[in-house]
Amino acid sequence: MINSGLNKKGQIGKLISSFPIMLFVFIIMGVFIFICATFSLANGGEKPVFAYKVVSQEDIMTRQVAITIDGQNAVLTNLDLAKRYIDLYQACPRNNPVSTPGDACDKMLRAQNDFCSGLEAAMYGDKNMQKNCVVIIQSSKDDEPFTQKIMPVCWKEASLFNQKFSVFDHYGGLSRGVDALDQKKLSTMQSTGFVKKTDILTEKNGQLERQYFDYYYGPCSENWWDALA
Amino acid sequence: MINKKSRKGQVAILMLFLVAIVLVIAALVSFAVFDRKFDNGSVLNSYAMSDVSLGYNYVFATSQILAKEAILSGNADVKGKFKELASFRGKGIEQAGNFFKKINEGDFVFGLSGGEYKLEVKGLFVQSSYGNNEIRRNYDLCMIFGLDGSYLRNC
Repeated sequence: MINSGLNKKGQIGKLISSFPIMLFVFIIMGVFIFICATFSLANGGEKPVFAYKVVSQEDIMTRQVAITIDGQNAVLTNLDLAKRYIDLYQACPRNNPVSTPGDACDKMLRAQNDFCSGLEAAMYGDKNMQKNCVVIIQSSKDDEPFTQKIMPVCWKEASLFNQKFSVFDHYGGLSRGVDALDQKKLSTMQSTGFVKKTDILTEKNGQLERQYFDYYYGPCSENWWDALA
Repeated sequence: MINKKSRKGQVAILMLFLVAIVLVIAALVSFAVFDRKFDNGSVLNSYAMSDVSLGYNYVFATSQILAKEAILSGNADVKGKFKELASFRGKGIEQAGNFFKKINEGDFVFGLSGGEYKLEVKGLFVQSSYGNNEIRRNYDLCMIFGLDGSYLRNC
């Protein structure tokens, strides 16, 4: 009887004495959660973007295209046309890209046109998509940021080295060259997995050199471009 | 005596408090330094996967083109013609793996069988690597072509 009375009193005493400590612990936990949330939000808060888009893209580089090269009909893949263009690109001096008929730069220009024609032919022949976009960026270094010098691949109107990338769409043909805002968008495009990547080995002054291609082929909806920002 | 015992208890509680503080700081630091860049690994992995896919599609497309050209050439030795035509292709395109090497060595079968042309290349691979991701795909190529050189189906 005495024992049970004492025990009860002891338990009540314990409860009373532990209450402020519990309160203290809860306050500390609250502060911890608040600080964690603050750190987490301050550190970005954006959702990570996974590169599933790359794998699900149609592969325009391996499309077969019937094309006339130097008066001869041939069937090639766009990758073959890219390789042919890159080989001739290496032979054309960068500092003096003015071409005269029959020289290396003239041949390169024609090969470049063939490559662009191949891309267009593949794109226009694709009935599955209502409207398609092709973006190809060629560079001599892997992971070269778009803010640096990037050579042109396809164009119809611009002169040789002043247009850095091209966008074709199903109806309008070539859209435009690159500006500062576009560079930012292209960087986003690259870092979020919109582009596929491949490379071609080529020879330059007896040395093997790699040329890299970042390329996109897919639908260009109305908000396609804006979605890259 | 009782006072001394109380002091010892306070030291233990104080230690617990300090340890808790250290753990909290460690947790916060880990939150702060975590860069959340899951997508970097994902992008590199995708590059490797798409490059392997490119290599496979390229070999497939090139085989179709070369087989058609060889069949339509009218040359009785279609295998020899296929090999000759292949020698002009694929240089510098590493994504094709060992396809052109196999063709160059004559390590393939291409000929008329049962009113159809059959192309068979065994032990092929395509591979690609980006960052720490390396992907290799082993496969055998076996394709059936019509007499007009059109691709009909895989074996």
